[in-house]
Amino acid sequence: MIVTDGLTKIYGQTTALSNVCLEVRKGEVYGLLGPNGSGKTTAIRLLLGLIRPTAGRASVAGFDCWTQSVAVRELVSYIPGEIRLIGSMNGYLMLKYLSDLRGGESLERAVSIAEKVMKLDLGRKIRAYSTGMKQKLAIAQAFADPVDILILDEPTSALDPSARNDVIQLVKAARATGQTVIFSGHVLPEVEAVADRVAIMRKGRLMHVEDMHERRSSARILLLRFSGQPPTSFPENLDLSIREVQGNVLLVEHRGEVRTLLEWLATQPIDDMAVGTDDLRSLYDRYHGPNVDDLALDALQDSTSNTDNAAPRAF
Amino acid sequence: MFLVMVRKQIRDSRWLLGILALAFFSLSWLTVYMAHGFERLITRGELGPGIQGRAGFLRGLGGSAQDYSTTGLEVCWWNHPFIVLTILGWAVARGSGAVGGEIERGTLDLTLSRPVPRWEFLASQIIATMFGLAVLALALMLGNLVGSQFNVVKNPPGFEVLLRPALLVFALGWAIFGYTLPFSVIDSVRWRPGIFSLGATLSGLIALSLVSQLDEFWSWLKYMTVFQWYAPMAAAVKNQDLLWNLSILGSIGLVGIVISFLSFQWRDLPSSS
Repeated sequence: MIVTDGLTKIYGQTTALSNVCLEVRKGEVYGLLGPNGSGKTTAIRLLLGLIRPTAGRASVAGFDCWTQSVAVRELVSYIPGEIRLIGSMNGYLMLKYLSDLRGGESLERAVSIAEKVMKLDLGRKIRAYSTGMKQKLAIAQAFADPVDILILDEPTSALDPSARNDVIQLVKAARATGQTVIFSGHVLPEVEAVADRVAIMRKGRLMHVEDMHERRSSARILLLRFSGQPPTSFPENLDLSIREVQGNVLLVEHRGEVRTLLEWLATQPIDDMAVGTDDLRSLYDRYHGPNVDDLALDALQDSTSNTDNAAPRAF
Repeated sequence: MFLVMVRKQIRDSRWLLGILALAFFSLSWLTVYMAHGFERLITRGELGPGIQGRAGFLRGLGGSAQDYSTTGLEVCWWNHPFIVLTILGWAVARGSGAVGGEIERGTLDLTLSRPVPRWEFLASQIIATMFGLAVLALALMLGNLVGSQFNVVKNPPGFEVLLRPALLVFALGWAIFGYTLPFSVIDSVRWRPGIFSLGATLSGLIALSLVSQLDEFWSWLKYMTVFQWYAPMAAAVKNQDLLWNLSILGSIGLVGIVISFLSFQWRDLPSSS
């Protein structure tokens, strides 16, 4: 549905996005994770044809995002990270304006979402709305639009917890109706709750793409305390990767067969162990955590292709 | 979608436009009242060719084309700084706000993330500006026509006579808007193209006022300003150079707008944050 190939954006001396190759499938919720300045918004603006790629290309449903951007925007509804609405309009007129720019079909549904789900008073002037209320209004419009794709750039950043939950439910409902959603954000549990796949961005690069279904079902974390020196390598068939080493304690991630793992563990000088499931935080921290070795990540990324299929898995 | 955007642009500026149009209407009505007073002075021999005092003031307004017909006494006020600077302000405000202002406010994303072609967005800004200029020019005409119904003047100018300077008012605004817009189209804020355009226009206006006091060498300075081709008195009283002046002003605006369309089509649109 959405494909980028070597997508790059350079502003003067700054590389905002570097050689990004990704593919978002029809009907999936695709999470985009990364701190400020990691290239998420640049990627989104390139998809919408608001900025021109320096190199590479992006397409949505076969339409080139720069040369056929109007056709792309026919298919896409977008919530920007920082919502700016027209202060002199009231909520209803704002929805009507946005709806009319897409043919006017979505007004009734937008009003319904705004009033019933977001609990907004549409008679009030936008300038009297709080930031969160403006965000809710934009969300109501985006989810009402008759489009195939929703691009949500930090859609919950100004929302209260209950409204955040409403947005999560709306995203799930959108997926259920076959819409494709790109969900960019900082709040990991939210992305984790809805995303089918998650891409982690760092310094304009796509570092890793994780299938969340696979992760939920297969990844487990083991904390192992060895009586002596812990091993530095494992048999390949175990699919173990080291997360952290502290003396004789190892934090490892396991994705392989449980039986094989248990057989191997039985042969090791282990004093104690704990097993848990993995969450998105641990994955995110691999690239943005406090112990990240920037140089090692850069070097590794330079030596791999920047795609969602060939990204590095462990360090 | 195009009309939706035009309506929005007009709606955004409706209060300012309404106030300015009312001011123009009132001022134009007032000029008829004043023409009535001037005609009484002319009848009494206190004003006219060769008589100093008020005649000098009128010549200062109307320029070399100033005469003492009713039309001349009324339309000379269309050179008044209030009218000229209001047109300048409207054109610069609309031109600088068209893209730079929208990016600064963050509302450009709002519109262009919908399936709206860029050229259509820019065209809606242009149409809204033209509408505003037409309203202002019409307000001047209407004020005069209505004023003539309530004040006795010798030969009140008719619709056709007033249309000529009104077209020049429109064309002046169009030209200023035209050369302001390209700067707005390549910028991300409103103040920079606004200040640049205001500065350039006012500098030109000052140069034009000084040129008559300088020697021949500096005569080219008069071509540095659009006001060189804004001659409502000559258009109204003598029907002189109207097409030429309209062509020049129209071309200046048109060139700026063509450049704007080309630039806007290819530029990156940064987020406002």
